[in-house]
Amino acid sequence: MSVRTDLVVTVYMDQRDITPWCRSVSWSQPDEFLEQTWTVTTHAWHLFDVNSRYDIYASYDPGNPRDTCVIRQGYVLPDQRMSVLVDRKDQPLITVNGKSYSSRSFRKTPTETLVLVPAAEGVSDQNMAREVLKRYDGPVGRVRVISNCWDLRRVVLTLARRAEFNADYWGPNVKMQPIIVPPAVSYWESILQLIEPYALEVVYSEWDNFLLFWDPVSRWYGRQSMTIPGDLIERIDAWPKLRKRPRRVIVKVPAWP
Amino acid sequence: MALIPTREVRHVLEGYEDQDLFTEGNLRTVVTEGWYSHPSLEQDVLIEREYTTINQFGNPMHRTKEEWSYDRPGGPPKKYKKEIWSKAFVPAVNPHRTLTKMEEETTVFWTFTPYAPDVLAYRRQVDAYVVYNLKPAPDLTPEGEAKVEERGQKADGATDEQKRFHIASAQLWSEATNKGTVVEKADANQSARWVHGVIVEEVSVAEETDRYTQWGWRKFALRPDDVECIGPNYFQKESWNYRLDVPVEPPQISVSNAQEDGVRVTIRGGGAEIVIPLTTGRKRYRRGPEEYRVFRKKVDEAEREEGDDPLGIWEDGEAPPSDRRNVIVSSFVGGYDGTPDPAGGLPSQTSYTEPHDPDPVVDDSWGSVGTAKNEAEDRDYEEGRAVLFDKDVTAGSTYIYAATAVIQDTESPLSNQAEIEFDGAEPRSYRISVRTNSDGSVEGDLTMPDDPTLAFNGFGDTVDFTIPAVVDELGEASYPADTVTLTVAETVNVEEETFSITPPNIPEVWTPETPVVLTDVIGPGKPDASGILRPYTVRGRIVTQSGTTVTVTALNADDHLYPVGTLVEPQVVDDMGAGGGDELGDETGDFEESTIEALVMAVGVRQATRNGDECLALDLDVKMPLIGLQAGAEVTIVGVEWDAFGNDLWLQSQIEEVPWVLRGWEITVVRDDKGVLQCDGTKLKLTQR
Repeated sequence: MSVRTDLVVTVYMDQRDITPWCRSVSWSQPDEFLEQTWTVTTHAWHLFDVNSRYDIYASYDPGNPRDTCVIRQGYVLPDQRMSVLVDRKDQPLITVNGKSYSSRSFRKTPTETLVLVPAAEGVSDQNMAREVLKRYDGPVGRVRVISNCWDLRRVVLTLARRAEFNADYWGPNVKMQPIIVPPAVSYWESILQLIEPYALEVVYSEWDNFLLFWDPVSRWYGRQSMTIPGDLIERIDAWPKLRKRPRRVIVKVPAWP
Repeated sequence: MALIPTREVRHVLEGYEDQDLFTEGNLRTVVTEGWYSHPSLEQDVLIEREYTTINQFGNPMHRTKEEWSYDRPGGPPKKYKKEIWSKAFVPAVNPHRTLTKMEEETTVFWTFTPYAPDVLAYRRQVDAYVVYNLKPAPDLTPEGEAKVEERGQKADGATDEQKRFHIASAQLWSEATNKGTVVEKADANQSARWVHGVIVEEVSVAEETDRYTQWGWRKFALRPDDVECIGPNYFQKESWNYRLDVPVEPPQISVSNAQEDGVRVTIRGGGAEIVIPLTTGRKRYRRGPEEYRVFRKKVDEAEREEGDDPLGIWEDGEAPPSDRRNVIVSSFVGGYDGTPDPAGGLPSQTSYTEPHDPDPVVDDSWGSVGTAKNEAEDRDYEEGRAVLFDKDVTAGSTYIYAATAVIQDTESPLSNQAEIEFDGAEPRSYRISVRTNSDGSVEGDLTMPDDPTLAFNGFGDTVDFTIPAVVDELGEASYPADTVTLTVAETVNVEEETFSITPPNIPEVWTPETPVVLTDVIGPGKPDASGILRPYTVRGRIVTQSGTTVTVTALNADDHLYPVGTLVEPQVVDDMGAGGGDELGDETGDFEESTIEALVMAVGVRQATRNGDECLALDLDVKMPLIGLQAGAEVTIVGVEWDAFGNDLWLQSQIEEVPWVLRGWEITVVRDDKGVLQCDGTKLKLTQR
């Protein structure tokens, strides 16, 4: 049973409105992943380009159709399957699958090694970075030293800023040793590695690109909460989700300096 | 008695090509190694090694054989011998290029200290063929004779051919071959001779108090001026770890309640008396232990009453509430007519009680609590001391503690046994132990409390994290040693002040330099950074104390009037481990997890909260398109109710109104027949918070 609702959806391909050619649009966030995926089925195959960027807007207000951006700078993954269908009216249809673009998936400088050091900008951070790299035996390309990373909060926010998030960190804070982010590791992966021990909840909203690392033992919850009245719910499926119960936690702190 | 190889290893390098060897095609190079294995040795000892290069026709072209002689396993080598066999053309010696021994090297080692195996005195001698150019006629002048003797040869009885040797043209066979100065003709004016001691090297070792010095020379007989000095090379002596042959004495322990920090185990003493032989006589060195190991025995535990069951998990009263969540709450179970069913209608479990078991199982085995480092310096007659907090204790339980002293893996017998009934305010069930590894890294090890709903203990995984944080190994604990009150109100506005106090209860602790804290417990206090009212507090150090006055210096004066009745408390500071002292608070600033214990606790609690239990996941279809959703948002579902009828039962149920976490969603918009984009609704994926 479907309920008709006034949802205005607009699809832009390379900043051109292709909504009239669209047959169906869907966007989703896979469980436990921050990358949103989207699918557009469109007649605008003549405009199709693998390198196009897609913006999808949705709004409850027909007078302001670009109220909320649900997919920002969506791109087609190179390995995504695309199919061109021809229907009875000889209208060729093309189905495009993609993800929303963000630097969290990429490094802008993939050959660079980042060294985040708890030292002030100037000579001391360079010296500390040199000391760290001496002990590091992975591949090092060009090296970029990021200074003033005194604590975990600053490290996480620095990396999140480089991944183009508006971020905030509400987890536990610790004084940090210098950290190396190897060339192939994205900002997002390195953040996840850093916060993994604290089992932080990640709160994210695409529409204002805001990322919040939230402490699970805190009383306060993230930014948004919503209440869904029962009469809006059509169906509920519930199942147990098994987790590994930790019994023993070993935390190793490497020697420094 | 020399060691002989007990194990042979052979490596074959196929198609090996080396421009320096004397043939065009090398089929393979065979390296054969003879190793001596012995259970007392950490590593096998190489006894012999042979390189053979074999050409494409199967003939050996070049061979090097090395031999090391040992007297006994683990000792220094006695002798090293190396032979080089080659098919090189050496005039008058090997014109037919048969495989001939060209060079022999012998090194004889000796040492006076078996504990410095790397510092050896030795004599190395190389014997080899030397190639000479020939003069047209025998010509050996007295000067030439002297030169010949200088070069290690006898001039007496030299043959005519030897008298033709052009002494200055002497070259080692390999040198001559590599430089291409060998004329490969049978009638060329060149000859060769086996010369003993072409290269001679002698190195001796002198022992000094803190080091060994290697000093020597190397002489190349073909160039008499070419004498090289070797060394001096200095080898700093390292301490040699013996297993102690003297017994380690056990320490003395005492235990006390430390409230929320658990049981404080104070350890003193222990160690060993080590005899150090010196040239001036024997020195007796009284050494404290490196670390203490603390053990514990449970006498009884509070939450276990006079009960016991075969599984040993007897719990009193109702079973602890599970933190597992029900999705569905049945609010009414009854008949069709609406009369509730007193028996519940459906099988349900509201409480769980073990049958009464009269005899508890007493856990009387010693369990390890942790390791405490000796805080005292390693000095003669310095008494060892350490403090360890056992947090894995339950209020009302009785425990027995004991400790051992450890020096270089030698452990003392158990110390005295101290019994305590823990009266801590708050039961702790997380157990933390901290250890420092040899590479300087610190490891915290946390064991979580058992899940009370599980039928057996010790269930769960071990998770490892490496956190590049800066931590102190242990924190600082200070607690009041005595409490008196001010008898005259005083405004603290200078650095040094004299206060009038009631007479001290324990005058021994009122010593100079002892930190002292004044706390105004009368007034309302002042708000701290988070707006909570905290009492005014000022700290300082005692200068002098006599009778009812005390002079305190280094006060952080705050201009507050401390009224009569203000608490004055000298502090006992347990400065445990690195970074302690007064600066600790300044160093850590507002960082929450500045000690390894706090860090481990922060990680452990969060892991337990987030992953400690299985959770439920929900898929929800909402009849409304929801945009602007936020992953991780809190979702509450209200008012989902339904009735179910079966046989003679009526069930009225609802979804529990608890917050869930939004993990994912999906929205699909499809163009309908009229050409309008329509949305069906939103699929939400939720998990238990």
